[in-house]
Amino acid sequence: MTIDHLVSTTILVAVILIFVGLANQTLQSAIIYQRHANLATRCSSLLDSILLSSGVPSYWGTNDSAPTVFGLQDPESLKNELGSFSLMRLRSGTEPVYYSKTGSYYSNMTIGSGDSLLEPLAETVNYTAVSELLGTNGTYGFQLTLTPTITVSISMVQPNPLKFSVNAQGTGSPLSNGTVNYCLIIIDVQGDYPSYSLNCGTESLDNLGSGVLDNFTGINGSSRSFALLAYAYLPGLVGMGYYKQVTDHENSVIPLVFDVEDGEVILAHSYDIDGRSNATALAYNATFVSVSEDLAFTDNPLQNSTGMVYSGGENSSYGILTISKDTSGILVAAYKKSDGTTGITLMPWGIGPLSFPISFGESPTGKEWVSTDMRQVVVDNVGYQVVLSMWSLEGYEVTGQ
Amino acid sequence: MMRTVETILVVMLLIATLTTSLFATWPSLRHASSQDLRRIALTTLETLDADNSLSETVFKPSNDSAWDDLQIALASCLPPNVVYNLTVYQILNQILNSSSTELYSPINSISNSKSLGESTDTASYLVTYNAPFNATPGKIGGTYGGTLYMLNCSDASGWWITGYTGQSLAQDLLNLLSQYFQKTVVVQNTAQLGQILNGTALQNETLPNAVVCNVFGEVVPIPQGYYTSTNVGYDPVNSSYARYCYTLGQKVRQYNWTWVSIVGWPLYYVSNTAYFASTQNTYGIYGVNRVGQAGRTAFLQGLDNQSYSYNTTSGVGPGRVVNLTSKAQEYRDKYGLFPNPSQTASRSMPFSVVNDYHMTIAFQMFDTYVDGSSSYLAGALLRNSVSGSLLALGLTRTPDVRLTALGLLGYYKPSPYPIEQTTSNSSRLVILSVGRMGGT
Repeated sequence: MTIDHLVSTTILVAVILIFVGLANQTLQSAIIYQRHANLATRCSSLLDSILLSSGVPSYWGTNDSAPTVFGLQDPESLKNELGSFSLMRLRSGTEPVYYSKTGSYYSNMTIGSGDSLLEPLAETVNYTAVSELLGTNGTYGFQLTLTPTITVSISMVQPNPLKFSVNAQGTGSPLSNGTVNYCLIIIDVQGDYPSYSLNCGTESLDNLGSGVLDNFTGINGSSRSFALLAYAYLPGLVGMGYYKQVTDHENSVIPLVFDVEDGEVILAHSYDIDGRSNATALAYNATFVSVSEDLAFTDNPLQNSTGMVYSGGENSSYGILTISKDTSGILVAAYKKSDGTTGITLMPWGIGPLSFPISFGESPTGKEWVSTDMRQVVVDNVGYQVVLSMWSLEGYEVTGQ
Repeated sequence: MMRTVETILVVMLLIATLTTSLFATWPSLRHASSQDLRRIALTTLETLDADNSLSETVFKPSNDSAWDDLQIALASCLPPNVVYNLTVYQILNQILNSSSTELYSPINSISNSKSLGESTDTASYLVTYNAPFNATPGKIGGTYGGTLYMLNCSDASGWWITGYTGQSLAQDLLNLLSQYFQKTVVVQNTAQLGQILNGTALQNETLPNAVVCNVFGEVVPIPQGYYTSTNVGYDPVNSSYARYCYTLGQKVRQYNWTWVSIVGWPLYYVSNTAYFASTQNTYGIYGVNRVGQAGRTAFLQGLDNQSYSYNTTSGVGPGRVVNLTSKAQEYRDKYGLFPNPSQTASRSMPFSVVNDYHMTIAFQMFDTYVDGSSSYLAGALLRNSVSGSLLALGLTRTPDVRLTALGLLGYYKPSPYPIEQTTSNSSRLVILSVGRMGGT
């Protein structure tokens, strides 16, 4: 009798515990589901807030002031076009660069070819400030990335005469039967300062998004520095890529944004930034190449476009250029050493002209649950995909699934 | 007893557990954090239209290569795990006028999949484009007329149209006016003129309420036969074809026509190059017979249904420079006709014809002017109180047919804009549905 009673009571208690455990698990899943759904909604809403507002002041991208309301939309557009200069002012997550001659640190956006966009930290907008402006500080973390929709890859097939292969790939498929507008900027070593010439043209792509650029008869690329800029497009979709060759692999001219509002750019000697040896004075010749809406290249000569840059020494041993602050484009600096080796440096003025990718904010790696959302945008005619990754800082976990 | 209660409790708990397990299934966490496909679709459409490419493509024929480019661009910019269907709809505007309930009609669709996967969303995008539309201006006449007869008789000669022929003037006037009329009929010879005077349509046009435009200046073509016969076209007592002018006035009244004289003294001569082959107008132009002052008077008599009376007393005013009335200038701007606002009038009608023949000034082209005790009308469209009208421009040569067009348009006032233009020709709706591939 007593044993029976004990057994039955034990079974009852066991079943109750199982039931409570099961119910708890179900409720926990429900709560997490709600939290994640809420996070996804906030992520989508926040992304729209960023992309559909130009911020306050609306032209904060082209002046030195910090925004009081954050937004990246092009102030002159009502669509999904982003301001090229607003994007330029987002502080990069990579290690900043120090330049001793100005005593300033620079936000460093660098892409594979070694070309970079270096902007004074004081003129950039950092993650914490943006997080506060967006009202997510302390509650949500995020990362905003902009990736060009079309990847344009260029490789040199032969140097003499110059011949390149180009391939354009979208995120979903090749840019079949597209068109490429290209411009070869080739450096000539003659004279005190290097000179340059532009050779532009148009070529068609095949079904696989590939094509050959060989309209460079008489141009020998061996032992010469040059840069090939190429815009691949179909109606409504544009991608950009470039290819560069230099003969001076030790030194280079590195452009640093000095003042966004005034459009001032410093040309610094690479030795003063990366500290590599064999620093030799460099003679430079710079120009500003802009790209029209129909993707035509225009050379815009600059004042004081030629000069010398020296490593070490006085502050005046760098060059200063002034470019149009309201027009995006590409600053091209050709340089040469006394031994005749040359090089070419490209710096985008604005983000789109060189199709620079952007990553702004914290890394989502290791976060417990990250919600992402995506939009298609246009920056300086170039198609980009914007992805916002967002997570909660409140510390809940994902269990039970 | 205790065991029974415990057993019942266990059974209840088991049932509750099973029930909870069965029904309390939650969506996967993937669904809890899915991307906003609708926004992706919309921004994709906006991207493709950033340079107006989408707007241009959707107005092109479905076999145009631009649709292939659109499909490639769409596939290129969407992530590889996203399937899509893009459909373009034409916006129908006749829903109010027809029994159809369809508002949008699909005109083309592109897709990369038969179905759109396990989760789908859709964005709509209205595109407008400066597409050519049917620029048909408002028509004169509507259902009760609207025919323009252009007398382009190859067997007639003109006078007071120095530098031009009747045929060239007819062509110029057709270019200006034909778009405003329901139907334009070119009367190729005097025989066809005789037909319409007899009430026979030439091309199944509506004959009553028409406008008959005589571009031969002071000459009016005359058909042989009946209309040159005695007491129909010919006045044997006065040896004059003023009788034909009278008959013409009667016909204008009968059919409620608007007779147009583009320059000079109306109906001063009659012409038939065959019938008057050996007759000249006293100035050496053969094929033309001079009627003189009696012609206009006889026409007005016929128009007012008065008895025919050969009368040569009514003349014209002295030559003056006259100016377009403010109303005429207003219509000049409206219809984009810009003749010189100052013209020289040497064949102005006496203002007295308004009262003598029960006319009203329906549209006055030039300001009246006074000479002595008489007033004169240099150009006006006069409408008889019963039926029929006369537009007479008593200007000196050479004629400017823009003034004729202005006189008619100022009177009929057709809409210069395409009254049937609606969004159907300038707007299209683009629907992009996107879906994610993959399981749950």
